[in-house]
Amino acid sequence: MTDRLHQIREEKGMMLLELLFMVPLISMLLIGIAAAFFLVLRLYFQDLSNMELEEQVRLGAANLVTDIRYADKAEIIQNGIRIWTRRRSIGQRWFDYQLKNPIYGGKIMKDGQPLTGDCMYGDIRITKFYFEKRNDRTVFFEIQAINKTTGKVFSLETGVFLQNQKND
Amino acid sequence: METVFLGFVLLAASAFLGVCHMGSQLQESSTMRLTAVFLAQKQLACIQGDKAIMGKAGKISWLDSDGESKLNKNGTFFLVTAQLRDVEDEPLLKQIEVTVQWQERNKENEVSLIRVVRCDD
Repeated sequence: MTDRLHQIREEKGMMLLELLFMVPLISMLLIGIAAAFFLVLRLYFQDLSNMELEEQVRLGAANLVTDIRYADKAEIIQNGIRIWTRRRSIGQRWFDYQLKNPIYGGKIMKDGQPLTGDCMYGDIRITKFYFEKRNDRTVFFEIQAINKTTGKVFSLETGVFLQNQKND
Repeated sequence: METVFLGFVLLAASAFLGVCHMGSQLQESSTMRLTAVFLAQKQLACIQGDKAIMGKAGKISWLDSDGESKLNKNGTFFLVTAQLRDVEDEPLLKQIEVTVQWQERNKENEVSLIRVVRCDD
């Protein structure tokens, strides 16, 4: 009987010792996991805003490529480009792509309507909207933007050949 | 029991972190690919708009004004080359193939764009 009681006391002692080690260990582990989780969450939202940055630049560039490619004429204006096009219903007309608020970094306006700037996760500003005419039928352009939230800069440069315009 | 529980927690945490890391790498890859495609489009437009080049066939290096063969864009070096070929039985048509190469985590990547165009257009 005495031996049995002694054994029970020893087992209880083991449990207490185990608890003394395990509680701080598990607490530290959980705190570490929670910290890592919040860090990864922050990185995830940073990634989302950087994806938005790329998406904004890509959207601007893709729109420009399509509109310039099928334009009758393209002429470079201040902070942008004027595109001449012909529509069956209204005849020939032009519309502009312009960078609004270029000094502080802004948004691309197409025909007076904002093309970029609607962002959910980041504060994205277009910082460079540069055009160059290599010849009558080839236009080069570069769009650069910055994500003010993460500081990431992304730029796309490309060229477009005007398919509707004939060589002289 | 505790060990099994801890094992599961660590496994879940490492899986979560691994997926996030993978997502980040994929985003980086897509940035480079996007940049490469737009650079290839620029080279295509350059060649298509240059009558002197369109009259020939063969290998063409980067045609932009600065003339550098390796371009640093969005933190990566890109090498742009192009090949102009005649199209069989179609003397007025030329095939332009632009290849953009870059290195990503010690791995060579490339994007190729092919366009068939009229040289008298």
